[in-house]
Amino acid sequence: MESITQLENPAEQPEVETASTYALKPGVLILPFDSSTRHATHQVIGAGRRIAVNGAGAALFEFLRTPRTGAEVEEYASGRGLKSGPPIRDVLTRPPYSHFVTNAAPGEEPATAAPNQPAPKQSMPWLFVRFQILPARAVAIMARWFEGLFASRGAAAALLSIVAAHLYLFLSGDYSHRYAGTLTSNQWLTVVGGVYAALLFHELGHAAACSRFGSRVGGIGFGLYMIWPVLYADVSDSWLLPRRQRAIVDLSGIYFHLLVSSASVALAAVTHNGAFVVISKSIILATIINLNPFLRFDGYWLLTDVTGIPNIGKAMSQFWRYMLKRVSGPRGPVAVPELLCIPRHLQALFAVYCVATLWFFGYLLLRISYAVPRLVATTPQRFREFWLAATLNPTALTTLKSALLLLLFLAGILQMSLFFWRRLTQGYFALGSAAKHFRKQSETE
Amino acid sequence: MSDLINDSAMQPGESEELFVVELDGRFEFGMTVIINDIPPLDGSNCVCGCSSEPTNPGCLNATQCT
Repeated sequence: MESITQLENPAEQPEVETASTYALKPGVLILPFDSSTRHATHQVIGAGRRIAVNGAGAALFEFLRTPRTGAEVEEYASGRGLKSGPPIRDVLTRPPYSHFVTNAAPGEEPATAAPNQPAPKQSMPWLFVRFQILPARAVAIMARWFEGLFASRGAAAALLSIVAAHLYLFLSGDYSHRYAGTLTSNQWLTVVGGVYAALLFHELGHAAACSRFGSRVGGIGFGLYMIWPVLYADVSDSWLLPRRQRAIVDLSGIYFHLLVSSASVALAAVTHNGAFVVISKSIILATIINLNPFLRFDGYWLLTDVTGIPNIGKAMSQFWRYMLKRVSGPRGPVAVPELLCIPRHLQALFAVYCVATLWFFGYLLLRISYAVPRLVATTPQRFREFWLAATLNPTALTTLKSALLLLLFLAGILQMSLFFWRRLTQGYFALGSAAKHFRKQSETE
Repeated sequence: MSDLINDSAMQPGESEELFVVELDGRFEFGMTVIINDIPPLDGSNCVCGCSSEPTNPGCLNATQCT
């Protein structure tokens, strides 16, 4: 989250010719955005990226639909009293504005045709590895099959079956029975297949909700989120929906997941096969995990849409930066963070969320730092055991799955370590150059 | 849609500071778990003749089962 006053020192920026021409790139859309903050009222979409802007930003982008010279841009900004550290024409040449605005040198025409380049991938922090399993077209077709589950009658029937099935699971005593230790290989195969099919159905749930509300759906894929293997549904276009519908999109994964769990409970009751109870119990545990609001699971997006604050993570870091500047820095112009411009009850909620986030990540870091050395020390022995188990009983597919999960976990730990190392070194060098800059500044003063 | 966004999009009294927040791609993650899916591989839970033996590779190697 940036405002002009927060951007880097204008003295370090290269001078931009006032005769240069600035224009909105072809195909860029400026649409209303449903949020609870007065800052994010419009969204600008183009070239696979999207930003939320305030009214002033939307008006500026609209002004650039017609190519303008730097002088015209400056005249526009000063005429409307747009606050600016560096000149606005400079700001337009930097990300994220530069993703949407072309800048042609004097004598050149701004691009009028869409560049023949593939759209960049949507940014997704912490998703280190990702590949698509189902392309958008296939997902769109499948999503349409399940749209009826969002019609009032279909939803009522489905919710009723979810409640009834899970009441039966808890009341019949099946939930507390330990089936997991007594399953045969074939039953384990059923459990593994059922649990992953349910997860795929979870993702289809998000897509079906989007389809129901008329939003375009993207593909479904596999990824490594921090250290956890996950499936994902790309529902980026749901940013265009009203908040209430976005919240339904967020919940629909769990809705579909619990539908599979209900079917599994019914199958267990009919067949007396413990594998179906294990599937159901696994889904219930997965549902609790997916409601976690601190990681980018469904709970995070639900919190985003219920509160109407886009990008909670960035809003929080902007808030901490602001507090740090207020406490330590010289009293220059500092943009008021978005979190201080929301209604009081949401501010209270976010105070709790900020503290809980610190606690959660502290706890997570402690657990990981405790687990990693042990994991590294025991990995060779565990692989030896997996190898022995696989040679003794080749049908033990769970062994293979466990080995694969361990490998993925190790890859995730490695990726995260590299990520933090990069961040740490970047921070170190940024700190160094900032110190140099302040030293120079104080020398000249 | 562009009719909606002109200078009147700037409400009276609204901050005239440009404000922008990048919206992340919405990737709705789903994570799964399998409860107790790995029986102890050392065969510590083996009981000869019980139904868990064929599924637990550790049982094949455990002394109490041989």
